[in-house]
Amino acid sequence: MVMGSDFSIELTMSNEVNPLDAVVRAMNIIRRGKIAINHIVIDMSDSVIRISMAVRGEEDEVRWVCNKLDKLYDTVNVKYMPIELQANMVVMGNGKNIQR
Amino acid sequence: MPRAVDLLAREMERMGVDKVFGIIGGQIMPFFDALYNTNIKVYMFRHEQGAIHAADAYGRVTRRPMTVVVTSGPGATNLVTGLANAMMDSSPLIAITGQVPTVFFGRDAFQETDIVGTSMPITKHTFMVKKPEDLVPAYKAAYEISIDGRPGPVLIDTPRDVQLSEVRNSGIRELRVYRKIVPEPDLSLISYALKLLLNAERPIMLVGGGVCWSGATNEVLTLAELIGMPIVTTLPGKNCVPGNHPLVMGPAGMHGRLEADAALINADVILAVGTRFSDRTVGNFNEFRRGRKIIHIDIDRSEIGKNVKPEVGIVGDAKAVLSMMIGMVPKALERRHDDFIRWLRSIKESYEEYRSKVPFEGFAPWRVLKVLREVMPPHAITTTGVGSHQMWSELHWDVYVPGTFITSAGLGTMGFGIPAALGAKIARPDVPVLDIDGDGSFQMTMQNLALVREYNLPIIVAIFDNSTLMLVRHWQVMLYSRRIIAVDFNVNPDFMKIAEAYGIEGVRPSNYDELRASVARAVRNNEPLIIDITIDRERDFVLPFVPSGKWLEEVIMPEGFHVNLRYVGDGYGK
Repeated sequence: MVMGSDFSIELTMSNEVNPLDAVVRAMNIIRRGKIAINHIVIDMSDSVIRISMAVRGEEDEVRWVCNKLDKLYDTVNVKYMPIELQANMVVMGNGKNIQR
Repeated sequence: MPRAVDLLAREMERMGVDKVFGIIGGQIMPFFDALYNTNIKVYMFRHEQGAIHAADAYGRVTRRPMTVVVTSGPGATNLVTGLANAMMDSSPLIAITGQVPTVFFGRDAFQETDIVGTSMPITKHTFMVKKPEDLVPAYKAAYEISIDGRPGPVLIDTPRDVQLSEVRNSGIRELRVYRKIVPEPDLSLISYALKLLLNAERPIMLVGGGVCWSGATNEVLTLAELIGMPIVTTLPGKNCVPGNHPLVMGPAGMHGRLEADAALINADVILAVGTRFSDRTVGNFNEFRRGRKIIHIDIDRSEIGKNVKPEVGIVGDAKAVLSMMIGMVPKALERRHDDFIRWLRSIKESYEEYRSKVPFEGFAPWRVLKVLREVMPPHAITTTGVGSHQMWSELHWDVYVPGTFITSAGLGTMGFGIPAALGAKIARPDVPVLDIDGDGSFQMTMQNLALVREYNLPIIVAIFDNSTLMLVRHWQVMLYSRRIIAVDFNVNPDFMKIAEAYGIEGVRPSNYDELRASVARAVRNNEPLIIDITIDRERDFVLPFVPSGKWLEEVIMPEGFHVNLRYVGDGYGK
């Protein structure tokens, strides 16, 4: 059983070329992370793919998963936040790590 | 109108690609057909694994991706090990695979395999080209991605109908790739890291393979010299610094050098550059962190804190970060830590003195390496297979010119040595290339020796022939109560006849002088050579040895030799 806190992860990916490949690439990373997935929604109806996840795990592990997702060449943006503390958001993208 | 593959071949020539590695097959015939009237040379390997390992080595030598082209199904799946190997060691290459026509997708057509799905977790990126106008943009994007930031392999899967479709030039679009910007190093973190280093009692630098890719060798040496800081390496990091530099203690870890292990054990601050903290280097993560402050520099943000949580994590290119650090070191700083460095070097000296006194009938692996090193020019490129010969090389092969030691470090792929040597020789035909191999590793990819005469690639292969899978045997003796199973080769082929079959001179030396003379002659005449060196498997234990998961202080030293790895010179550790 994965211990830790609850987080939400919002992942935005390119919907341009073989969008399902991008989703599978993301899932391949997530399944190797030491986090439990409680809920996942994949929306491919727009010009980008939006993947919303509710996960449980240590923040270090959640951050590691987000850092790996950010490395993907179809990732536009990835961010995570504690579910209890929505204001404490960490946005990752374009090589920058912005604490809010 | 040109076919998609014609445009691709034309674009590759325009980009300066003049050779590809691979093996033809049904679903990739259109691409090879498009090469017919080009100046792109095809190196036909005898197994796809050989082609991709050669491409891996070519990429490490030239820092540019080689393109490997194979057919669908087994051709594609035979690349899998090579893709994983290149991914683990951050080596750039492009794999183009044929695929069944799109109309047959998912219908279990002959030689259909979902290679994109198979290879996704072990590649930096993949493209499944379903539109013919996307083939050229996919190749251009793959080329860029393979060398962008931390290098790696990219795969492009090309269905046969897509290859054959005609394309209007006007229909070609750019594929948008979200490139990863390497952030400017954080100045405040660099200042803090430097403060830790300057206030440290025994700082050391741990150099990983990222230093090579960053081209940061000079910065590593300069900073170490300014602070008087010993340098320890990982196995890939061994390739990044000259082993004869007085501050370089060599590789640490499972089969590391004792002086390097001692440096890590006694360090209070560790500056780790371009390394992922492999369990093979660190041994025990908890012990490694205990009482030490870790500064971690890496271009890959996901490496920071992955295995070892650092005191300071700096995301950035190693060369840029170290340059900034060097600029901030006080000019009046006096060289420090000399006593500690002297003590570390005394460990090396006492070990070498012990080793030289131990009587050894026949060939001692360490001494074979010393003889080969004497004969091979300093700038020669060395590759290895995987096994005890690789670990002996980690311990005793001196790298004089950074970038000349090519080994399968992360994945540990047996069979890497021969194809890697061929790839290195193709990349640098003017440089002597030596493959230090084992009889187990050699037999996994030896069919690629056919390229030696076909393309005039005079490599030298030194087989450490102990007729066993020695490293596993070693573990069975030490960790499994000597229950030896499934390691000994009771019937090996005659490697001299193998050499003869491929038109290569074979030598089975009976002493060091014969070994020296045969290799010197091959180097002098630029001729290929296979040397079969008989090693005694009952004595060929690679020591020192830190068992998996143990802390470096729990190292098993050779019988009759012991040193205290705790430094007591200035009261530390008392």
